[in-house]
Parts: sequence; C-alpha cells; structure tokens
Amino acid sequence: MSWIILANAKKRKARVAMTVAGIAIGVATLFALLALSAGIERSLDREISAMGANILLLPEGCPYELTLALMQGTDAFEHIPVDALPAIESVANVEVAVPVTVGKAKVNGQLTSVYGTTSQILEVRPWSVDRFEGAVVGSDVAEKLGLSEGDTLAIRLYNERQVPITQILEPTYGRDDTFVFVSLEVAQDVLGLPDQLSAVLVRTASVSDTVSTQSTLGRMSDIQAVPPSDVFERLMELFASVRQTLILITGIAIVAGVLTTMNTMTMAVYERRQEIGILRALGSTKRNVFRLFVTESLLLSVVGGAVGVVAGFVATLFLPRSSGFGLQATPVFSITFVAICLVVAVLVGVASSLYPAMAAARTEPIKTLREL
Amino acid sequence: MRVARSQALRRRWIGIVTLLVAFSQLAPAQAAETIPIERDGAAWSLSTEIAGRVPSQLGSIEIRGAGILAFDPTQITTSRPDLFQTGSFSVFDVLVHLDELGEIDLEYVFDEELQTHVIRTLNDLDGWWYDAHYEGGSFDRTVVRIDQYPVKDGMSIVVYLEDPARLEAIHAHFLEEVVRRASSNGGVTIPRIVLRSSIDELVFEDITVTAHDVRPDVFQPGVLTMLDILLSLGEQGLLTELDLEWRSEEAGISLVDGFFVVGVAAGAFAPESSGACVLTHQIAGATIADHLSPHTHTMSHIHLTADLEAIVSPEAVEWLWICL
Amino acid sequence: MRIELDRVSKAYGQGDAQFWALREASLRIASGDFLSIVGPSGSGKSTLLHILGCLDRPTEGSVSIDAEPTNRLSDRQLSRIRRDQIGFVFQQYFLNPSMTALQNVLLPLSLAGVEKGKEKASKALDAVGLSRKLRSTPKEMSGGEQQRVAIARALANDPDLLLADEPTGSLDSKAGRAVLDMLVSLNEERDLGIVVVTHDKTVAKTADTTLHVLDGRIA
Repeated sequence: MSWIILANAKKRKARVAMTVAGIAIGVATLFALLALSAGIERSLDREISAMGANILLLPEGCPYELTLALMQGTDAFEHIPVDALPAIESVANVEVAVPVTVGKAKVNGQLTSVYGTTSQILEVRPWSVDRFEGAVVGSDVAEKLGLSEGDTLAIRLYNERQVPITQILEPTYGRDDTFVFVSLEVAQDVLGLPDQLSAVLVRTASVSDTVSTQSTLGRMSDIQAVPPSDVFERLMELFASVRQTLILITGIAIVAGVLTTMNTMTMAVYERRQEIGILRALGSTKRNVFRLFVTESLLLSVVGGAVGVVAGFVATLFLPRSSGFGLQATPVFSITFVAICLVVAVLVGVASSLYPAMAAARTEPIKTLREL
Repeated sequence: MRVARSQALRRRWIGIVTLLVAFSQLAPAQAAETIPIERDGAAWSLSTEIAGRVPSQLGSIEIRGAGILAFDPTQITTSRPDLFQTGSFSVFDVLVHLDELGEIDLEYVFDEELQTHVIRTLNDLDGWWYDAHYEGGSFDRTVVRIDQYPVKDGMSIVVYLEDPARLEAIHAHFLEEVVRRASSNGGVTIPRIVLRSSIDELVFEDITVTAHDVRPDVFQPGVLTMLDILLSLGEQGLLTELDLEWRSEEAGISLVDGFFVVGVAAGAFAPESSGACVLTHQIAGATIADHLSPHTHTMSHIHLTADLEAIVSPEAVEWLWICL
Repeated sequence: MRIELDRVSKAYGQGDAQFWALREASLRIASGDFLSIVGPSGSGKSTLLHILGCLDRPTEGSVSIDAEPTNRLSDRQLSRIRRDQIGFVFQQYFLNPSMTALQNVLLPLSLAGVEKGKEKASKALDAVGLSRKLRSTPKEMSGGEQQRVAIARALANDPDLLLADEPTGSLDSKAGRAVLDMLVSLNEERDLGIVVVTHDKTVAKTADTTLHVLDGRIA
C-alpha cells in the first residue's frame, strides 16, 4: 500500500505539505507545552529542594508569598526575631538551623538580591566552598557585573558595606546564581533589618520524625513551620491556572489541525474522484477505498507528528525562559513527550480522515467515469 | 526618643491595661452595631453619632536604616487640615513630627501635581515609600497617599526604600488621578467599578461619587472616601441593598473602629452571607495594577476600611465579597 | 462466463426531469464473443456497457451472470465480479500520471488484495507489447501506448470479459489500428469476450457482431 501512497504524494506535493503542516502545528504546540510545563515543574522542584531544608521556618503571614519572596531574594516585611534562633536550635531533631536575611540592595550600583546567612549555609547547599567568608557570588551576578575573585563589592541600601569576593560559584542553574551571599550581619546592616531574619532553614537529623519536629517548631510564637513540598504544591497550583490557558491554546491548535486536515482531505477526495472511479470499476470494494484514504492519512500524520515534534523542540529554544515566578525554566524533553505527540498526531490524522475516507468510499464510480 | 523594642512593647501593655480599666468604668461598648442608612428622597446618609477613638497611645514606626521609633500621638498635628479634623493625622505627619524632634532628617515637599506630600530625602537617602496596617491586619503593599493614611492606636508602620519602578508607577497613578479630577471640574467620576463575589461579577461605568461625611470625627466635611462610592451607587438606584455595621473591637483585636459592609445587593448580584462575610475594596487601574499585592486570592483590605480610605479620583475600584 | 440482459431499462433523474437512457434492452454475451455496440452520442450505448459490466444497476429488467441474477448481489460482490471476471477500458485511459506503467497496472490488483500482483502485471504488459516500458510514466508514452497500458490493466487479473468504451476515440488512426488489432488477437488467442462501444462504423466492423443503438433502444 505504501508505494501507492508515496506515488500519490509525489503528485500532490503542495497538498501533502499543507496536511502535514496542519498536523505539525498542533503537535508542535503540544510538544512545547509538555516540555515547558515539565521544565517549570522541575525548576520549582529544584529550587525548593536546593534550599537544603526539609522544614522552612517563616514569619507569620501568607506562606507562599513569603517563600516566593525568599526564592526571589526580596524582602517581605515580616520577620523572625534573631533571638528566636537558640530556641529553634534546641528543639529535638533539629540538626541544622540556618538563619537567612534577604533583600534587594545596590551591589556596585546594580539592584541585586543580597542573601545574608551564616557558614551553616555550607551544610545545606551543594557548593564546593570551603569557607564562608566575605562575599560568595552567584555566577549570573558575576557575569553581569564583571566580577572576579578578589574584587571588592560595594553593597548599599540603608547603609553601605565593602565586602571582598572570596569565591564565585559554579553555575547551579537555579536562583543561587543570581544572589550575592554575605554574612548575616552585613546583610542586616545594609538592609536595615537589625536582628531580623527572613527565614530559618531547618534540616532534621531523622527524616522520619520531621513531621513532629515541624509541629513543635510551628507552635513557637511569630513562626510558622512549612515543609517545602507543601509550598511546591501550592506554587504548582498557581501554575496550574496558567497551564489551563496553555492547554486551551494547544487544544485550539489541535482542533485547527484537525479541521485543516479534514478540509484538505475532502478536497483531495473530490479531485481524485476519477481515480476512485477507475479503482472501483476495476474491482476495488468500498472498504478498499476507505482503507486507502485512512492509511494515507495515517502515514501523513506520522510524518506531521515527527515534523511537529521537531518544530516544537525548535520553538522551545526560542521561547522566553522565565516562568512568571521569576524562575528560570529550561524545557525538559523526554521520549514520553515524543510518544504522546505522535499518538496525538495519529489520532488527529485518523479522526480527520474518517469523514473524507467515507466520502471517498461512497463515490459512485459511474458518476465520475461519465465525466469527460 | 529612640527606645528599644521591648521597652515600647512594655509601654503598650501598660497602655492597654489602662485602657481596659478605663473602659470597664464606662458603659460596655458594643462590639458591633448595625448602622441604618437614611434615605431621604434620593440622598443617602448614615444616621449615627458614633465616633472612633482618637489615637492616644504611644505608637511605633519602623524606619529602615534607623530602627523603630516611638511617637506620642497627642503631640502630632496634621499637615493636611484640608483632609483631617483636629486630633486626626496621617502616617506622614508622624514623620514630620519625628523630624521636628530631630530624630530623623526629613526633606519633603507638597507636590501640587500629585496632590500629596512627597519625601525628598529621609536620612540622606531618597526613594522612600511606606506600608501600614492596623491591629490584626497585615502589610498589603498599600498605594494610598502617605499623607492620607489615618493613624490609629496599635498600628504597624514601616517606611523603606521602594523599588524605583514601583515608586514611579505609584506617582504616575497619583498624577493620573489629579488630572482626571481636574478634567471633570473637580467632580469625581470613576470610570469603572466592579462588584465581585466568588461566582458573580457586576460592572458599573462612569459613576459620579459625592461625599456623605461618613467619618466626621476623622475627616473634614466634603472629603470623599471609598464608602462614598457605595452610598453614591445606592443613591443612583444601582444598589438594592447596603448593610453597614460599626465594629469597635473584634476577637483578639482591641481597637477596630470602622464601618464594615456586611450586606450588599444590586439586582441579580446578591451574594449570600454565610457566616462572617464582608465586602472588601481594592483600587485598580492599568497604571497601578501590576504593583499591588500579589495576593490574588483575597483582597487584604479588611482593616483599612472603606470609610477611612480617602480617594482622589481613581481609574477603577474593585469590591470583593469574601466570607472569612 | 455469460452475461444476459433481459429487457433492461435505465432512467436518470426524477419526475419531470426523468430521462430514459436505455429502453428494454436485451442481449447476451459470452466468453469468446466479440461484439461492437454502435450509435450516435447520447444513444445510450455507454449506459448499456456500464450495466453489462455491473458498474450500474438497471431501473427495470434484469441482469444475470451465468444465470445468476445480479439484483440481489451486494456492492461488494459486484466489485469482486468486476475484479475477477470483467475488465474495463475507457477512452480517456484514466492512468495515474505519477505512477509507472507497471505501477498503474498493479494498482487495482494491490488495492483489491490480489496475490502475485506484480507477476500478473508484468505478464499483462508483456501481452500488450510493452515489456520495455515497465518503468515509464504516462508522460513518456504515446497515446497508443497509454491505452495499451490501460488494456493491460484491465487484463491483469485474467478476466473473462473486456468492456471497452470508445477505446480508440483519443488516438490517431495508426495507433487506433494497433489497439484494435490487439483486441482482435486477444479475443482469438485467449477466448476473451470483448465488447467495444463506438460511434465509428469502421471500428465497429472489427467485431464479429454489431448492435445498433438509437435513443436508448437496440435496433
């Protein structure tokens, strides 16, 4: 059968190209959507787990607004008093409690996120840093401001501090690349937040007892204890509404693809009516004709699907990378997505060919052969 | 006087105890009181003599870079006598007062184009904005003019260096309001008002708002507030129901002193009150929309009540019916 | 194989617009017969051919193949008959321009699920003298050659009856002569029943018997 389809395709290159394009557009949109969603999910997941904490202590207030501010490196007006730290550390099962004060300040004149913390940060971040001293600068900041180790940073907001850069981090592909890490004292001084913390990152000694540790910590005044995974889920919920819109757009693209293909095929059936007439005159049954057209459509859809996947891949490379949470989200590509797209392409192809194929099968040979 | 936080807290506790003792001598104040609306022909007005408590307790204000400063409200007079009655004043007046005492270094000007006081420099830095909330509330990235936000006892105020882009948007928003008001000969017509519940939405366009002197204890006569929007809608026959309640205190909050909208209906738009429901408000409009609180699931305007938010001439105001 | 038409009439359209293309036509054709049907355009001769070939059903009267009436047969069964027992050739050839001669002949066989299609196709092209043109496309062939491909296609599955509607109508006299000679030899060598419909009396004379058709009736 395939040689028949190939020969017909050669004769009608433009028609074939249009059908393939119709399917490819829908598939490309779907592929881009899948890749970008997965990318955002993974980036959020990575951000949250990159915090290194399995309990996040935040001030009272909306937890995911506070976490978002923490991830974006801005101040959120609510703070935990630093004198709560000893009590936190003394809670059973708390292995590490890392105090953190963040906010945006002018670093060498540029508004940048300043992340104040103690050397305990080294215990929860996978950096290859031996000592936490001076300023540890994220790779993006270093590149943007043209910084090298040994340079002195002028960090200023309400007060000014000069801090030498002791290390520039390797790219982490996460938010840390956009932060300047300094001591708690420097950050608090510059940000005008004396003895105030934006958050405390807690890691428990025994993971299985995390839940009870979390409730103990949560009972302390001025503090709420949040598991990062909770925040992740809630942020994903926020993203879900964005995703609804993207799904709607994809749905529209796919429907457009179906309608284009259906239209193109219906026109093709009309144009080929004499060919169909001859085939029937020479003994093909209605079913033979039906199957020919459906198979043609199937092959075209597979091709359209493949083209769509490639086009979708290329499109994601050109789309902006931010997800609206101020996070970088590189698209994730997987074989599963390719498979999903091909299946959708085939379904679209078959669905849109059913009506035209039936019309083809029902073509009365005698009518077409009488035309001169 | 620059005092440590714990000392200020201690004084506040003393203040509260005193207040409680004082209160106990008086007839017990009602926590919530329904306020009927008088409809005299087409004019609506509030028939009440209720007044809120004038600030009398030591207050505190956080000025980033300077710390937490205390102030005595009885020593403060307003720089906006066109807006406030004697005894009432704004967040900005606290700063002026602290400057007069030499505790901060403030340079400011009244910007005619924006019709508000603007901080030029504070402690030699520029680009300041503020956020505030009353007792029991939370910071919600206010865009109310700093010299219009009334001060109450127990309030939290923070003055900080704002993101330049946001500050610019806020000033652009103020300018727009003044221009809009001037172009309608000083009257205030709001291009778009939205009433929203969890399932329904109603839009009003180009509504003229007039003053009803809802808080004669705080504001001068003729001052327009958010609450006047609802009363004006009612007068124009666009609201079929408006129920107000005066609350002086609430669970855990000793001082509320404001009007709460506990019932509203406009024809088919009639959200149900299942328990503690209230109509909140939020300013809106193209210039300012991206610079409001990122909270979209609730408008945290529960505590700056409609009767205390003076308006100039906003592009849009959105009302949300929420049940707590 | 034998096809019999008994008082077959065919009408097109309805009501006032109804037009009888054929009126009470009766005829018999068997393998080995060489029949020509002559008449002016619009006389109904093509309609007669189509009904003979089970491409069309009569409005009145009956058609039988080997004494079996066809009115009870399904479209599928009729298709099978056309596939295995009858071959068609038309004036316009109706070849697929993007396929080679071999592919054109193979096409209906492939589609209808006939086994050893390729063998049969090359044999058929051989029989019409085009074994050197297996890989040529219609563009690379003359009108006569194209018609011979069409004949090969009609013959590929070894039918008992070949029905040709104006097979020389688009050809010059030389090519037309060649096609007619081919039909004669096919009839004699294979005992293939042939019915040729034409308006040309010279063409008609090539056949053993001639039927005249005028205004839908056999004279």
